[in-house]
Amino acid sequence: MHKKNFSKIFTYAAVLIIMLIPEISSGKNYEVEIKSGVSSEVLDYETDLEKIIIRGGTSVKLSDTFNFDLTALRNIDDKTSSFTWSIDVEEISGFMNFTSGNYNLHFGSGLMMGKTSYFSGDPFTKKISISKDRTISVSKGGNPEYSFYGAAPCFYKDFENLKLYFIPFFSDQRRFISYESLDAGIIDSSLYTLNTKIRKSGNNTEPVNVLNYGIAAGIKASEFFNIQTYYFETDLKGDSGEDILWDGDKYYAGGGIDLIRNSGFFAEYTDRNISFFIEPAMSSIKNENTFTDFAIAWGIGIRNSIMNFNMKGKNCGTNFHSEYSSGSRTPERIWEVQCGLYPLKYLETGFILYSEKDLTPSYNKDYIEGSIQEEIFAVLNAGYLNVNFNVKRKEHYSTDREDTTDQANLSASITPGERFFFKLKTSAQKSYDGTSYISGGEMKLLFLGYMALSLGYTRIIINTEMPFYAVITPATEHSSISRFTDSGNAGSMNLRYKKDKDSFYIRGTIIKTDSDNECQIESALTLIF
Amino acid sequence: MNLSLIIYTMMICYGAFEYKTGSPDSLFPVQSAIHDYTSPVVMMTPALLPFADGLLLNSSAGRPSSEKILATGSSAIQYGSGDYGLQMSWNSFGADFYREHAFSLKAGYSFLPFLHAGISENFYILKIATSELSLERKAADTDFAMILTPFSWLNAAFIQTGIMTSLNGKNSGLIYPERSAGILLKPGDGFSLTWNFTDTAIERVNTFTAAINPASFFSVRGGYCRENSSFAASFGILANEFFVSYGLRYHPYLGYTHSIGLTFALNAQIESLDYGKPLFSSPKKKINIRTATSDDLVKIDGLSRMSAERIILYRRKIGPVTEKALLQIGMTGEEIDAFEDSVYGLERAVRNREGGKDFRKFRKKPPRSERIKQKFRRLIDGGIPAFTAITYSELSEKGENEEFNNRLQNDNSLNEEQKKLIEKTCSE
Repeated sequence: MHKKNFSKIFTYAAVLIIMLIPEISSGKNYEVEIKSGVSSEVLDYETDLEKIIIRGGTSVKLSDTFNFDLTALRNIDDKTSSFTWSIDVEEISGFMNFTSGNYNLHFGSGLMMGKTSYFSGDPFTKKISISKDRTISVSKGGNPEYSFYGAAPCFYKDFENLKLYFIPFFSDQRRFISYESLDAGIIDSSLYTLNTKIRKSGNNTEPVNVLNYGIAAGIKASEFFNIQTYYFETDLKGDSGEDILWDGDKYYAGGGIDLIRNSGFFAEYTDRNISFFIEPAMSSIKNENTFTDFAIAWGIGIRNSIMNFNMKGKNCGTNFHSEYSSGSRTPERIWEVQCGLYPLKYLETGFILYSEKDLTPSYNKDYIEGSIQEEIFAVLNAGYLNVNFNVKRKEHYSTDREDTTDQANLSASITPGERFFFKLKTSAQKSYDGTSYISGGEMKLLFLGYMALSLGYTRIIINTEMPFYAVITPATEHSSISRFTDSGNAGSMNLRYKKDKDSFYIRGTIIKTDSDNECQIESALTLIF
Repeated sequence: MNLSLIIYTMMICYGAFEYKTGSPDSLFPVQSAIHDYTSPVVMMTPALLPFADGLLLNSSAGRPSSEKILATGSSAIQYGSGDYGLQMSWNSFGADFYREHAFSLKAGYSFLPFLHAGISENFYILKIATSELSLERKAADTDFAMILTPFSWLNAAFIQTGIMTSLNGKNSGLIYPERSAGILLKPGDGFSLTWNFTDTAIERVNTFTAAINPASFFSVRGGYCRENSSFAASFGILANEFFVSYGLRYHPYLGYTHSIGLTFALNAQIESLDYGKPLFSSPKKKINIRTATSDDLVKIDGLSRMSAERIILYRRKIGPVTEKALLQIGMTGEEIDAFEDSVYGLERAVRNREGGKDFRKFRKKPPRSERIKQKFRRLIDGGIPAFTAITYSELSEKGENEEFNNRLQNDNSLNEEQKKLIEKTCSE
């Protein structure tokens, strides 16, 4: 990381150490966590490629109110390194929390600001952005590409049944672009793509700063109501403060974006039977002209002893842009209806309907796309026997209906005692050119009270051009879904140790397909002192 | 001009399938054999009229596909007595130069407790009026509907519209007969699922609808039409005799259709969901037992202040709270049941799986906190009260033997046997 950033880190650290000296010297409880591991993960969400990485880090926790985390990551495939750090202090003088370093924000339902998610190429992936999360959460993964970098204090005041809070935040993500782009004052790529340029590489040698700053304020009242409003701006500047435009080749950007202003309002009611929320938001893209447009996300959920029903929706104007949404950044219309019935105490059955439609063409396309997903599911949970069944259909369309994909999944797990666990699962996926199948079995043995050994075998039969996204059983810790394009066999072994807060995990997988043989090792160690 | 008008009229006629009139509660603009009737709505089929409760007046309006030039409107007056029902309605759809009107007179009767049927006589008027063309056509036809209600949780229905046109084909250019069959499943009060299969003039469509009444003043509906991938939702609010509703329908190509409705009903009521407990009461948020204060714990129903303080003391002095620990500190079975439903973070109750004796003999001397815990457990097992057990376990590990002995000797709450047990256990 750049020298300038190191100096910032040390400044932050010094200030916080001074703040914390009384805490440390008072001899209160502390906890040190050491973590390390090797795994295979997707780091760049645009490439859909897993990389082998080694991760190591430490966390320090003092008196339940101070947390420091430093996690480093080595990408073995690309021979690159990165790290994240964060300091999270809670209840400072009873009115303030303070977060610094790498962090993520989540406002409202995530319509305008949420944690960036990785969407695999699985045809049944849903891009819906509506989700719940903590307003501020620190980033501890070692990959700084999709997290803010700066500080986010939270000032709050608690009353009986009422909490008021106010969060100003600032982020300066240092990224690199080419000299030609810097000289021209414009880049063609989006900020989403620029996020991955965290180091000098190839032509990208010139540092720039992705700036985000704004405020959020809210009220939480009597456990039922949650109201939040927010405003933030996104800008890109060179090291000397010069303006740099981005999205230069995108039709919606009108020759490049100079500044984005975002604002929104979120209101939610939740009790144990009914919940609903609404979030209107506005984005304003400033360049030679200013494009302002609106979006709205809404939802309602109802449940009682015999049913649950949820309906969510999102609608946007065609000029709406949400760079930091937890879902799609571009304008879209989304509907989702979920309904579950409990005809028996241990049985749930129901359906899910989901529709998403882009309102503008995707990059390099001149037509609008959308999809409809239908799903019927049943879950049987009868103590030692657990059965999951679902049938799904996805129709992806552009100018007309096309690309229908059907999928059926059945899994059954049996837990005859506290120490044994058996699981069988099978999936079939039908597309226009045939049907593919994946079946697997898993056995888990718990012993000594803190060790678990899992053995699994997966048979993959691919008869179509369309890849099959499925889990090799037993599932991995990090990326649970794999992409299969060839038939083959896979065997996996998973050994886990967990005692008190210490844990160790190692997983070995051998995948032998018609075109390739692959061996994967993953492990993770966490020790608490 | 005439050609363009004809093309536009054809477009609208084709679109009439999509743009057909309907109140917000009807969700989709196709004929449905059955729909939910647990809120004050206009019955879409005459066989449902016996289920209407008293007098009802309704007016609704809509803007199909957010198209400014198009509008829909409808009004209805309806009466039902339990055995029979009547309805008179007017529906209108179109633009300034093209408009369809439909006047209907419906009647329904319950022939048997499980068999209900009805007919509808409809009069249609089509008007085209431009500076160059003026056209008006009229037609009449009949609908028939039937509903079977063998169980309170299952209704099956059928409707055939345009019977005369189907038979003689006289107005086939103007009236498109439709037939629909449907099932309504009602698993509980205030909740129903409906599936209608309708054979329209253009295609056969399946519509699925869920109707939920979360409260006695609030009704929600959501639906999906599979063939044209459209979604629809509506909600209604009941205030005294007035029921106000709003509907939103989304079609991937045509966009949004908004509609509003106002209903006046003398016996207006909504059958509400049964929650078992009062609505709008506090959500049950689980408490983290590892970090909860005694003030947090006393909020749990059925947990006494004394038990809450003992839990905190146990956690501070001994360690993570287990199910067994709850018994040891004197909580009753009822308290533990309530407690476990309200907290998370309880350590596993079964603890002696960590290696057994052979494993233990190789272990290093446990840390002080662990030694206190072990002594405490043994004292509890020996019948020593929890607070006393904690006190002596701690004292023995502090190394203050003199204080330990003095206190034990002078402790009048213990008998000699208990004192011996404490002495023996704590001296190890």
